[in-house]
Amino acid sequence: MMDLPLHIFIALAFIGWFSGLMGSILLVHHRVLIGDVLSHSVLSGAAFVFLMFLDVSFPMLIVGAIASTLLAATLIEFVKDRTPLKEDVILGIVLAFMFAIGIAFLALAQKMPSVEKTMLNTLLLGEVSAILPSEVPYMVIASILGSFVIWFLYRGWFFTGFDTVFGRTQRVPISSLRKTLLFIVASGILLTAYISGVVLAVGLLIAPALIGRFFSTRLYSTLLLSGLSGAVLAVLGGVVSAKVEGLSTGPLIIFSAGLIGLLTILFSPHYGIILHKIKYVLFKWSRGQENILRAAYKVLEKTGNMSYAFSLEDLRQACDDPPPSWTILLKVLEIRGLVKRSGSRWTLTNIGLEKARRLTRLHRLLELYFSEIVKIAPEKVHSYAESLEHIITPEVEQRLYELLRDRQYDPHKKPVPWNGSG
Amino acid sequence: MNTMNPVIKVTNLTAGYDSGPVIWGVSFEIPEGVIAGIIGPNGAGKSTLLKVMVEILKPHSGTILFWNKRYSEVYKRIAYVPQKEEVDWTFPATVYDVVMMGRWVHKGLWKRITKQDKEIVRQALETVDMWEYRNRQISKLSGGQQQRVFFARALAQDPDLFLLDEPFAGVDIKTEETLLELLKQQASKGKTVVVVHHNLFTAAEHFQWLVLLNMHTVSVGSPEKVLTPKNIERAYGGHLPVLAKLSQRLSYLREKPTR
Repeated sequence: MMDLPLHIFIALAFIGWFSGLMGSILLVHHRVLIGDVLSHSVLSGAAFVFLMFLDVSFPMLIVGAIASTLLAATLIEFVKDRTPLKEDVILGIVLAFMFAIGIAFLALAQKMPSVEKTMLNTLLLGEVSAILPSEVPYMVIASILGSFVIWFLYRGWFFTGFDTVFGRTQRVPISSLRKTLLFIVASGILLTAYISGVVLAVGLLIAPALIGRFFSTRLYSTLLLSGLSGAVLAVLGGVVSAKVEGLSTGPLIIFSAGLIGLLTILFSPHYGIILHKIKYVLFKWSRGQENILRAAYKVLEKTGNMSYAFSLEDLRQACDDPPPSWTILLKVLEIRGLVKRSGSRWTLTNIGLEKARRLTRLHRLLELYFSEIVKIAPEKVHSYAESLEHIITPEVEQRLYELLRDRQYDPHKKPVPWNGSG
Repeated sequence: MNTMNPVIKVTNLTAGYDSGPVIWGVSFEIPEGVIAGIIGPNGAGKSTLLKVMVEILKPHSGTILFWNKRYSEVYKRIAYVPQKEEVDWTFPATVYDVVMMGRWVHKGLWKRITKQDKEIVRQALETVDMWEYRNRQISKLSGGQQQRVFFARALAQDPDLFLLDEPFAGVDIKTEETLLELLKQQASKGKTVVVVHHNLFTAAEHFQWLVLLNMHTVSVGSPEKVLTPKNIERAYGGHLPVLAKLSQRLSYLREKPTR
């Protein structure tokens, strides 16, 4: 870390780790926005302490910030318990209220004849170069302490986050656990706000949490992964901002976090949007090829000549579920060695014919199955067979063959192509 | 069944929400070692009753005793299975984690999980035929599998009384049969099972003891005693086509020798 002083590196790693933990535990409770409200509340307390005592040493800052986040947390719980308002409304109100006070105090502080007030400005957007070596031990201890509390209550989070009803019946102190969570975040969010700024702090909670959540299936791995990615993201932002003059650390950390968060959403194995899309397109194209083969078989069946050279028009007429693109897919089939092209006509190769025959057999047996065993009217069975024939597994296919092995005709009186004779 | 020492004794219970009571002056007893059904029409207060019994809701008045003790003294011996819709299936947990919760209630937040605990969890999962799925994320389970996992958790808790809220809602017939078989096994071991159930037609076959509820207790006792046309009319109202169908089932039941 060439340009990043060691003490800042340590502070970023620990705070990033702790922010990731807080974020993921909030995420599994669907309460991430609370983090946003609490981080915005940091400012008012810090500015208030400054106005009162003209002192922005780190311990004073802690006292002021925690006082105001706890006030915000209490306010949220108080209003929630006593009014029918939904949580998002309450959060919006408390956030705006606390932040407005903070901004007002900040404006007053600007008029003060003190150099130290710049500290407050860094709190708004986050600037890690302002971290003093003497502050780092506080940050490390607080991060470790907070992480331990989250870890100690590991079993509790299953009851508060997954199944509160069962928890209540077994006298798990659900309400105290939830308040503890709020307390942890209320005390810990100052650290996050200190490196990323109060406005953007929620980003350092969410992005690592998303990574943790998307790439793991259990709570402990979610927590570990969120913590690790929080640490990496924070350090990364710090390194970049140290290299580039004039860039605030806060926005950089959040930018890199947001970017990785977005990539996670797009590419994660379980939830990734892109991967789903790719799978869908691949499936559509393989289905298209299968439909062409089956249409070709229908044409050949009609002519009675299995080596007949068919035209595109023949295929169009025989196919009732047209593929995304005739030309591309016919080319793909040609490359796969299933059809052979001569001019504007195609013939099925031996392998192609075998595949086409199998698909037709499957389709007609599925129609039989639906009309005779599931008892669906024969005119409706075609579409069911159409959608199933592409996704059926070999075992099911084999079972179907065994079940219907002595049948020669499908419900529409078309022959079931059992063997090479067609 | 031992009717002298009921497992559950509810006396004159009135309970509901802030807006007002849902059940009024409900009284009944459930003997030991039976599979009992709490049945009644929609809005009869069946789930409310169950929630008051496990103190998720406070009663307005009346008493509930388990083995002649208050709930707070015996809750570890009672396994409650919530409705599937009441929990967050997106929570990052595996099947194994959820069943382990049944052991955690005995261990608290910190006490170590022993080999024996793990063995209990394994047996519970094997009993419901879900051991193979132990590492599956809970968000990827079908409705029937979710219900099996919940039942495995209840088994892992090793209770003497099972309380299940609509366990057969939204599960396939096979799961319903399997679960019922498992519940019967538990009853044959002397454990008591109470099920909130909405399907009147299967009630006679599923349960050995019934509490027919419609905001008040309509009738309590064996299915033969409870499921009379008169009682059903009182619980469900007179104009239902159910009555006709049900009378067939009932005559079949009466012809049957004692169960």
